[in-house]
Amino acid sequence: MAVNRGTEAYDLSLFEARPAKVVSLKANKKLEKEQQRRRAIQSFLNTLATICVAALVLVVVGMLIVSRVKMVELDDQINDLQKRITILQSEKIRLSDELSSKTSIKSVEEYAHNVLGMQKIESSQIQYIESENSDKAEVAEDKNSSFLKALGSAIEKFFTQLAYLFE
Amino acid sequence: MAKKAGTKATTKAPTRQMWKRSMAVLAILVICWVGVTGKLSVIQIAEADFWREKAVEQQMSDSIISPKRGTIYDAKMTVLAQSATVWTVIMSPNNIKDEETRVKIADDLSKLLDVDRDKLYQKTLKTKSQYEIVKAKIEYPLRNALSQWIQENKLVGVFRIIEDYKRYYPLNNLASAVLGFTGTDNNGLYGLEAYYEKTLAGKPGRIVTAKNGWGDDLDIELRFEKTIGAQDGNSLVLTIDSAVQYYAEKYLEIAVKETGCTNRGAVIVMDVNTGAIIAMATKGDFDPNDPMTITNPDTLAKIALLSGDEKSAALKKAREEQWVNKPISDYYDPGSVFKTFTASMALEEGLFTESSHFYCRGGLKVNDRYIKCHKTTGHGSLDFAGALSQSCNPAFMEIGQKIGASLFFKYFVGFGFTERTGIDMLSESKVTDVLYFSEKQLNILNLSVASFGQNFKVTPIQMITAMAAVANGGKLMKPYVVQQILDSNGNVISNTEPVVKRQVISENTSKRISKMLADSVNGGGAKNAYIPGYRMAGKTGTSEKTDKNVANKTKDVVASFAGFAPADNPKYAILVMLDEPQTAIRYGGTIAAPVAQKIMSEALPYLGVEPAYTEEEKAAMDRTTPDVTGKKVSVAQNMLANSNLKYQVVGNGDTVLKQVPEKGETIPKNGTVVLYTEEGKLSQTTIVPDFRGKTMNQANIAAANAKLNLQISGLGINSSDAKAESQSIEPGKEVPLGTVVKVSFVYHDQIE
Repeated sequence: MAVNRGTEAYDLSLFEARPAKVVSLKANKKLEKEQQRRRAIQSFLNTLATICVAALVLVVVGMLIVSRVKMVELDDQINDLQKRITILQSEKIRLSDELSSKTSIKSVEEYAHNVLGMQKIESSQIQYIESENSDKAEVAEDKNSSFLKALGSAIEKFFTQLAYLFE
Repeated sequence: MAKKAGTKATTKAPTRQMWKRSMAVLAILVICWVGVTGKLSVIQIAEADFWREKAVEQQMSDSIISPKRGTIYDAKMTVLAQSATVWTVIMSPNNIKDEETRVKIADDLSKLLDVDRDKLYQKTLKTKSQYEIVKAKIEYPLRNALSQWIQENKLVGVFRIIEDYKRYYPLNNLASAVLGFTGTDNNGLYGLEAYYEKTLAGKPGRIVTAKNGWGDDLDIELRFEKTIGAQDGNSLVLTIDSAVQYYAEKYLEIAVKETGCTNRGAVIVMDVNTGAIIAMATKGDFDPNDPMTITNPDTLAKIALLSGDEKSAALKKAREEQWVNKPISDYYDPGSVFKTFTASMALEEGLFTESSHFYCRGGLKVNDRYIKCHKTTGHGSLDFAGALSQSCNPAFMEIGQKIGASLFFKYFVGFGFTERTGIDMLSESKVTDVLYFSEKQLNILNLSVASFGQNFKVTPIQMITAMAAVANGGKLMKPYVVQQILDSNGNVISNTEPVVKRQVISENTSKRISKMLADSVNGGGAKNAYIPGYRMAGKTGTSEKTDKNVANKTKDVVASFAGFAPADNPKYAILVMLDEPQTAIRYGGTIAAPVAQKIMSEALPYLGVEPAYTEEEKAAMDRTTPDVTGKKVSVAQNMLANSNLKYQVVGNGDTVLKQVPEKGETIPKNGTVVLYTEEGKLSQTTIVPDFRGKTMNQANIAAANAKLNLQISGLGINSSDAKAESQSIEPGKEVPLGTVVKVSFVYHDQIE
């Protein structure tokens, strides 16, 4: 402890650090227990939350990775299929080209003539049928109704002329 | 003290030197600022587009998607040209590790890909190169085999197989001069492929992708990719019918070979009422699948004797010559075919009639020059139709002189001989006044010569267009080969309508000339073009290649025939042109008209033109042999007699065991059917005589002596002066009695 020996107006020793006074407190065991329990629960909850968040993050990241892998796989599949389509289209054209060459009129004629011994149709093998210059059609007369029709038209004519006279 | 000193220091004014330094620094800063601002202005304003492009180039990767080239179809939608994906093999020699691998690559791939081993080995030695083309445009089976070989030999880093397009021409040489071909970059280089390049090529697409500073793809969140799809090319539907084209090429090829034409031959078939080209043939030609290969063996043999630059130049010239589409690109003197048009002018102007009279003494003196007729002894007295039919030069000189230069030139222009026809094809020859006489140049001598088709030049397409005008009632049509343009989904986006350029002559004149040309085929100078039932009309021509002959002291000619059918209702016109035939007889009527006859006799029935036989033709028509095998001899005899056929019985049996010709076979009227009635005598044979060069009577006698039947082709009604040209069974061959031998006859009239 500093001793005031000087004549200065200020006792600076009062501001020097002094050892703390030890006070013995009576332990509240119940409270301590409660606090411990709370701390344990809190700690557990914290851990659980961390695990959950970590799991969620893992799931999300995993799903992202899976979706990207899936996308890449699908991209590859599309590319493969497109290549396959291109190849098949190319093959189709190549084979149809080959077929066209084999079935061209030149090839068919040569094969028919040289291998099958066929010959072109001659005019003598065609039979021409004589027909009259213009077509004629015969229509059967409806004999049953001809009298009635004539009578009907005569009456109609009579009334038409009558109407004309009175107009 | 310190405060004082400090006050002194801060209040001290800058020295002059300090001012100077400050000003200098400021000036430098201002200059820098002006420089930077100026450069910024230039970059941001003046060169903004350039730098923007550069930035986009750096940030974006741009790959091209090639469009598929359009297809070319014929009139019946048969594919004539189409594109398909193929593959090109690229090698990176700098990835080849050792000599052993190089040798293996050269040995294996030279066999697998059919390439030169030494050249391939030389490519493997280019160790700094990463791009050496091993083979371009291989097809799928070969690509598969190559992929397998690469995997097996663990050479994935050395080879790349990249996609490419190949143009296929499934019918090979057919219409090759019309179609043209494409180059290695799939651009049209010749023919329709070049003329319709923009239509067929389509528009390339693009895939634009954002890149990072290292040129790699960005992260997926930042990734940017935009695809602009390629627009496939449109397709062409031609007016050309591949069947008629085949008939034209088949008979033209035979004629070119048989007559030894040194400057090829051409055929055009045209629809006279629309101007649509049904066939356009050139022989010799080329295969558009392999256009660089010279097809003419004679030319190849000549080139093989050369070496170095001379050989390269000869190869180039030969290739260019074989690619030329003769019907539209070559000029020729039309010769007597042109008399058709001189006659049309004369009738149209009423200067002559069918009964106008001429007298040919074998030539005519014009301005102190004596111009000969092809018949130097003279035709004697002729009427107008006879002058055309007999192709009399003096008569036509007289007609031309009476028409006069002004009218002659008016119709010459009217028929389209002074301009291009405007056909939708590449390289139609330019028509300049160097090729023909202008009105001023048509003095009496030039007019006289031009009246029978000499000393001026036309193209075959001009000639057939003019002939179609004579046939169709006087309308000059614009010829065309593309009927429709289809988009990549097959929708029609344009359709060609016939275009009438002008009325050249009246319908009446057209009918009168058509009748005269039909008479020319029925018994005049063009009778080798006669087809029973089809009423062909036409005119032959044999023109001297005057300019070439004078320069080279040769006597080359062009033999041609132009005509149409049916004469009373014209539908199709044909032009046959044989350039520089080398045979002894080389008149148009003798060598060109039979080609037209053969082509049209197959093409007309195919095109749906019905034959209409005269009573005379019906009476002369061949018969079909009835089936008498298995019948009693007496019954067979009756049946044959009813069919106007004779018979010869071999053996003493009473039942017909075998007959020659067999049932259904064609046999000439009054032909003999041999009836075999005994098993032991079924194989009686005879030797086929050589009919070639014989007249019809002589051939009939030879056939009767050999107990053969003679089936005649190529003859009109009046056939006494024709001679046999070819026969279906080789002379000296042993055949059964009664066999039918088909013999082709040709008239050898010396009519130009």
